[in-house]
Amino acid sequence: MLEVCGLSVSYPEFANAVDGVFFALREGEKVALIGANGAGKTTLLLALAGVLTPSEGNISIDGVKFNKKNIHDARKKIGLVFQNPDDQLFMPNIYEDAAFGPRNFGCSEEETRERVENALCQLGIPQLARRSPLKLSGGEKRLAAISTVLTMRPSYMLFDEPTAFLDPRAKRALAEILSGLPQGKLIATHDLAFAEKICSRVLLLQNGRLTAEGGIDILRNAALLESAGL
Amino acid sequence: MPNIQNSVQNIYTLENLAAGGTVIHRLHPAAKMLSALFFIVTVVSFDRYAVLSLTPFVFYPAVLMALSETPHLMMFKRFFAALPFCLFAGIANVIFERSAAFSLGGLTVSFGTISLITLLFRTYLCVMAVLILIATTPVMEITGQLRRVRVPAIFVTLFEMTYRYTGVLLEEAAFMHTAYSLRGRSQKGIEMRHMGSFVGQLIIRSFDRAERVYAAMKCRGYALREFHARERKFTARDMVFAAMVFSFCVFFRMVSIDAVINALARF
Repeated sequence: MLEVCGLSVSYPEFANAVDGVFFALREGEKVALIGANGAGKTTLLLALAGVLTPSEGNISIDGVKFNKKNIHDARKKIGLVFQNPDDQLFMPNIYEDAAFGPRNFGCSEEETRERVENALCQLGIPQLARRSPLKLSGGEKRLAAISTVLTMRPSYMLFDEPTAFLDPRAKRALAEILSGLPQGKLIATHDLAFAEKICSRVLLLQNGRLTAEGGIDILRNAALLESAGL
Repeated sequence: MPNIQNSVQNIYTLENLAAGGTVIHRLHPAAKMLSALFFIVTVVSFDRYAVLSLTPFVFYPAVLMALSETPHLMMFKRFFAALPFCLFAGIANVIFERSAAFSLGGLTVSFGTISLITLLFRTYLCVMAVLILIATTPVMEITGQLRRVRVPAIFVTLFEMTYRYTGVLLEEAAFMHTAYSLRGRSQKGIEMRHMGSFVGQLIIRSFDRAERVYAAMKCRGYALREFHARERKFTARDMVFAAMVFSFCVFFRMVSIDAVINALARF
């Protein structure tokens, strides 16, 4: 289980971008993280992935707390898919991008190849392996970005606005793919219909604080959403 | 924008070639790096009038390009990028070294001209050796080898980052250029009075983007102290390749082609 206890994150110019957040994500669970622009969703995801250091609180997986010494192991268990796939795809082709993580974690070349082929097949994009990220459509880039995380075989996946830049058909395809992935998922999104389709639980973030947590009925509570700027 | 995107693509074309599976691609990166280094040192060690002595060295790029199925024309085009620099350096020799070396059909060839030709030839050989190395060895393997031979990690990381972020910088420039062209008065580039703010914005945006890319790299295990390079065994095949290149270089460094030609002419 991924547990977040009293997590706060501050920027030099913005204290408590995330402010005392508590929640847990079980293996295989799909949770939506909703909130207005600037609510702290991306900051929270970056802290969970070990990119930002919390100013207070802690994050643990299966009872083991994250710290500077075990951050490398923690990153094997948590994969983050960025909002903009262009940030995630920096290698000359998709194969190399998907192989980047396993190689850094010390996988052999054979294992890396097997992981990449499996991930690309799982997402239905084996034909993109040797294609340059520069030549892909928005939907293809999104799937390629997901493949770069899947190859690390994480227990939990974090998605930052996964439907950004996607047309309705690509959104439907993505919803189907995400529903089929066995990992625990935390999906930060503005797309409430998408969240309702995939997730069983919702976290509402407002000015860095978790103001509501519960089932998907939160997504139908117009007054609550309105007050949260959604 | 398509021009800048093509430039980004061109940067990574050689790296795409490195994903090939020919006999040269399969060699250990250390064997290829040492061979290229030894070849370059040998070529550079020749006298500046030794055009003929350098001639046999053309076999190195020719054979490697054939074996690695690297497109000759593409490599040759890349060599032209280095041409102006050595041409500029060598042209001074033609001006200052005017003493006649020999006459050919009434045309006097000066020592300066010979040294210019030698310089161009030498540059061609060295640039091709490096291009072939990059076209047959993934950059990550090259940097992995540099780490193994204890090149300071900060330099290797700096090299990797510079290489990766060149594409990021060009992409940002492409986006900004498109936005500018759509609202600009002229379709021909950026006006000089806007250049300052354009470049300033480009640096800020690239910095921002580079931070996000670096975050994505860190999330996938990239870290300065915890780098896991792929281990590969140095096999007999790698040894044979390196030995062949060393022997070839040593042999043609020792044997003077000029003397051989003179001897043949006398015979």
